[in-house]
Amino acid sequence: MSVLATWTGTEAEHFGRVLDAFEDRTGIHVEYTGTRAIDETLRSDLRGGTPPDVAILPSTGDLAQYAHSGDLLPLDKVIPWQGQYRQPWLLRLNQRVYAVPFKVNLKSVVWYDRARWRRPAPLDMRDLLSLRADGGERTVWCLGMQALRSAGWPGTDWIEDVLLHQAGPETYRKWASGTLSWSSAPVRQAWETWGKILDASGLDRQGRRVALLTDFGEAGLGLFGDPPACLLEHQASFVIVSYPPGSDVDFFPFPSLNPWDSVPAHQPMVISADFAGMFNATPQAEELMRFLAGEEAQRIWPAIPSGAAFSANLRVPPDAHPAADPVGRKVADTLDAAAMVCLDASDLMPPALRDAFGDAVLEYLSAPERLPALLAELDRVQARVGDRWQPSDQERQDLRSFSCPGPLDRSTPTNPNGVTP
Amino acid sequence: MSTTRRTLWRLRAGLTVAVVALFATSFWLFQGVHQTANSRAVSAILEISSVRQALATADRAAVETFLGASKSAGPTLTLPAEQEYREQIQTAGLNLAQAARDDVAEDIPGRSDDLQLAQGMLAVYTTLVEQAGEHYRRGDDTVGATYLWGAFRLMHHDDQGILKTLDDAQERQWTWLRAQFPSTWAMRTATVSWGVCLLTTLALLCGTQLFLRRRFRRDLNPRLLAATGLVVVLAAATSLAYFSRASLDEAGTMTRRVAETRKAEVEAERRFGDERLARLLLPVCGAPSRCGPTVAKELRVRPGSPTPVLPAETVEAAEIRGVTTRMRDATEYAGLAFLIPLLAVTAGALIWSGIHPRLNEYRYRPR
Repeated sequence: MSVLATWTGTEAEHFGRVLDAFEDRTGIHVEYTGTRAIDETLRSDLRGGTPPDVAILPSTGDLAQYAHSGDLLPLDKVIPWQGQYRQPWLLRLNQRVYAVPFKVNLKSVVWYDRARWRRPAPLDMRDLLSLRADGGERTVWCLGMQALRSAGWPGTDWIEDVLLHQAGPETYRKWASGTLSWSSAPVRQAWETWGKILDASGLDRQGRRVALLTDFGEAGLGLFGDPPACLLEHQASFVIVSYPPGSDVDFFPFPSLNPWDSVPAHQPMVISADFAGMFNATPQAEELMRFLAGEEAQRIWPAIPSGAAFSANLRVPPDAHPAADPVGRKVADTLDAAAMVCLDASDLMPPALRDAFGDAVLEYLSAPERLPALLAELDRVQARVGDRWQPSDQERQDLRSFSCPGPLDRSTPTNPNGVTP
Repeated sequence: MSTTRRTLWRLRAGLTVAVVALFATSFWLFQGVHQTANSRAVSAILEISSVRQALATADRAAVETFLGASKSAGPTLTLPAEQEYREQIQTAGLNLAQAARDDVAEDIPGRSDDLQLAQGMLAVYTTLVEQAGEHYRRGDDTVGATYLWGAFRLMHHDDQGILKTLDDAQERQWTWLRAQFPSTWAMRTATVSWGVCLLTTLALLCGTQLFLRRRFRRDLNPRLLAATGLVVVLAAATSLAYFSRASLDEAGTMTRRVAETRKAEVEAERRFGDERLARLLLPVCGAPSRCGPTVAKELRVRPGSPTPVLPAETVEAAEIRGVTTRMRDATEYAGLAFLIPLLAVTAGALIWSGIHPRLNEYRYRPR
């Protein structure tokens, strides 16, 4: 049977351990393909009539469209232990479950090298705007907007974090599910705030241009230069895999940006997740889906030191991460303690809008004064996307609740007989 | 049963077994070679190498187009380069579609649909180039260069670029070819067993003739003589597989040469494109050292380096025609496969009918 996902290199090796366990247990051979161009691959496979049996992808917007078109198959009868997840964490459309989160990444975090950054973590907007580079380093923020398939997404992560922390989860939900205009005040303000944070940190025009040409995977390596090229990196938890081995890194959560509540424990968190979905209803595919959703598989990757994989399965507690991986445990603890967790909004958007969002980030970095025109263009793209696939009221409601599935909250007991209420 | 009858019976049984074995090994050898020769692997390899070359040229042409369009980089041959870009993308698209039809590597482990993936990535690439064009037209060199840099990386990335994906697809065709009959132990085994079966059959036929002549004091048995002739014809027909294999080997060698030449051309285009892109990025970065770590790592030519020379096209049409001719030679005799069972069955029937009357003579005799 075939499995398609985005993981290559070290991450593919880590996922390989999960598949090895599955093969040992069932004797079913799995052929794994990892590619960053997963959207193109999956689309071309579907066009050719040969989809993978199981695909694991972060773009839930795509998954929703595949569910709508009938390519992605429902899992209600396949996975008996849905009770191991909080209900909103399962991709549910029209009362049917279509995908389960396999690997969760924490996005509302800022990374630093402990040897280079000794200041207290910023707690609010004022702290954030007061960050300045001192010494030999060129800038505060490590920024890289290039990605092989979809440039600009590291900037979309910034906008999402700022919007969530500035306007709150309800506004974020509306925006992520396409019911809030891009030109609206909260969204425009989020872009402007990001611009202010970068300006205040001393990122000049030249620095922005370098960011446009730099790959996201290499931007963070500036933390470890001598002297460092930058001091902080706003990036998802998976980035630690690309840091040099043995790096002494730590993180602080993204600070509050609203004036009424700067208590760290109350702050919402943006996460992304790789969701597993089934495209062929074979007994082998069903077996793998059951395995991937279950506790045994969900524990394997988090147990790898510095594996940077986190689970939404309620039976996988933070101590599933080895004691030798304090950063991993801290990420898991942070995820566990988050008052509210929201999914990466761009992953929820239809592909055309997601790409346009990334494009707008590039243009904004180059020419911030074009912001109103960029937002108006994003509104136009959003309207055009709606022409292609107009979700029903129920689907819109489902996607809206899915956009911020709420806290993980492992402390509340789950219902062993079915879906957790 | 008399001794003579027993001997005749044994000779007939031995000849039957020998002819059946000869038929099996002949068919194995003949079909093994010709099935490979009939496959489209060589075509797929040539098409993929042509796609790679066209894409590398297109990428270099795209950079040259925008080098001309850039307001700060000075004029160059914009229109011819743009025309070249379009033509090469069109050629690559057509060859890629043909290569996908000829792809034989479905059973090779790993991604079997690399070519489909490359098609998908090519669509992303052309979109990036179009976006670059849109920004250059607006006079926004920075974002234009950003998209062009993204397109360049998507094309040339060492691990996941389009050219690497195509390289993998091409390598899988070679792997498939290496695993086919003419290149494996099976060919040697089939040759040895075919030779043994042929010699055994001929030896048994001669032995039977001698035995009949001595025992029955008659001239040569005409049916066995005819069977011997047919066995020789069968051997001659089967040995045509060696001529086909030689053509196949030659086609493989020539294909490898063409693929290597095109690979060198792709490298040359890359170096040339690198230099052009470096010139295009220079005004964006301000200084060669200020383009950031990704440019420093992935652009092989530093901004300000001397211009490399773009080689004239070196793969001649004659070389491609040479491969096509050799492949045609390799399949020329494939249609004669029907002769092998026909000759074997006929020879077997002649052997039976040649020995049967003598066996009948000894049905009731004591010796």
